[in-house]
Amino acid sequence: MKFDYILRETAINLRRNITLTLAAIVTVGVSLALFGSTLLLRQGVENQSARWQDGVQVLVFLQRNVTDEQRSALEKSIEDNPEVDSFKYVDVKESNQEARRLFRGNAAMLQRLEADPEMVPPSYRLVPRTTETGTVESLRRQYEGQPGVQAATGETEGVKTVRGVSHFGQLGMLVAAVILLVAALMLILNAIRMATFARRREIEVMKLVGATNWFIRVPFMLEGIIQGLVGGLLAFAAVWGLDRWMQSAAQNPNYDDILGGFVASTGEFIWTSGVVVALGIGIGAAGSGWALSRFLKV
Amino acid sequence: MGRSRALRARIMITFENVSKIYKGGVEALHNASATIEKGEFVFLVGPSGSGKSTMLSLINREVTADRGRIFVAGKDIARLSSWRVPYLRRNIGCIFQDYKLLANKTVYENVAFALEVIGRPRHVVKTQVPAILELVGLETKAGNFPHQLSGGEQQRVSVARAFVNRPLILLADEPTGNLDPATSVGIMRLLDRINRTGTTVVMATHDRSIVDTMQRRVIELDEGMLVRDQLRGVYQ
Repeated sequence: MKFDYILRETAINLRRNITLTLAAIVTVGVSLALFGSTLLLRQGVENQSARWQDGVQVLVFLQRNVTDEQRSALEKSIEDNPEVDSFKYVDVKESNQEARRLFRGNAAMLQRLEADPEMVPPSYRLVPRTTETGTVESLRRQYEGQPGVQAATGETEGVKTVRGVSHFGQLGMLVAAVILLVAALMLILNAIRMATFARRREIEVMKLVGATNWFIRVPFMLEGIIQGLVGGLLAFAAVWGLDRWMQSAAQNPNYDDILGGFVASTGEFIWTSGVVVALGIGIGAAGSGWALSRFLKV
Repeated sequence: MGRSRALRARIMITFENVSKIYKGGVEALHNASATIEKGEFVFLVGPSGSGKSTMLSLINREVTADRGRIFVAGKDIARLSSWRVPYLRRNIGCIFQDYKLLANKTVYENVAFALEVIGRPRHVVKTQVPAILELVGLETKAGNFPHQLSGGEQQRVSVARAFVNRPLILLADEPTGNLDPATSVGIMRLLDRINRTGTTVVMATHDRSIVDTMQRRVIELDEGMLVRDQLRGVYQ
């Protein structure tokens, strides 16, 4: 009986304010989608920059079937190269571990790394004397196509720009997400306020005949929580789509994406979407709770 | 102290030197004391603004007293925590001059609402509502909406809603204020009948002829002061 009543009243409230309800849901959805995307992208960017640390500017990936002679010749030429300040050799085992760390949570990728431990080739990581693009590019070209080398990539202006922009972009997205979240809170607050106003006579009668405060409040609380939850689910769908898109890089049978940098997400998708949906519910509860404490004196 | 236990057990409502001052400094009630026993029928009379409605609002704790103490069914209601106030109100039915019916609900639904929102089970609602509608003489109008009823009928619905939970006390604030004399007599007969079941009735009114005909206890207020308390009184 009580359960029936609460569901019925909540449905009536939601329908009565349909435009406001939709506005609140969409705002929650957009803000949380931005927030969730930022979280996912940040993981992707972190992965991408994982190899470009400690001044490393050029990566020289070796072929699987590189011979010891080829490798020592290559190492000698790197040692003797005046443009190289220092270098580090990362063997197959270490590369595999690195990839596993970066792709923790991405089941598909981990499976492939498991099946083929040598999937990620060994590499030399070079720190050039200067960070000028010309030096980086000339180093890259020197080793590209050498015997035993599968590919050489440099941290080009493009990569640097992506990193810079993505930091700036993340900040912008976070700020936008926070502003939209506040707007969503206000919209829910207003929706609940309208609902209590529309039902003021019923509320008056309920107080008169001795309905408990919680009994009066619950349908309104639930209205706010449903708005937040549906918004959160919309955001979940958006985050899911983004995750699919980012992971598709890891599904690609040729390894270019892995060699070029880990753009793909680490698959911490469940965590991110959990945060997004929980935030939606939290916003709904906070908005309606605030509205009730201000507009429903019981 | 001097009161016997038996006497105390018979008392339903006690006002002990109660004062109520609204925001802005208007003193609606000044140092009022009165004792109302179980099953009594009491008229509150006096001009507009004399404090009648304030007394009723104090009894169901819509407002709280600034000085003095109020006991309802043996409990000092100022000391009730706010979450217990709804349970106090379940023992107090209220009717008003403007009926306060819900326009989008039928007669049946209006009465059932009072039981539903205090969590009464469905089978209780199904038996109590028809019974109370029969008591107030509206069994044939159960499916009508309030706007399809006359003023007297609407007030009967309001009485049914107030009484369906069998409260100990019925508070009536000018219940005949919008009704013609003949219809008012019908409502008063209904309240009298409810009173005879043992329910304490406290009714604020301006209606001289009703007070004079009923010959019940009269408490008169003037500018917040209790100026007369008379058994079997008249309006004056």
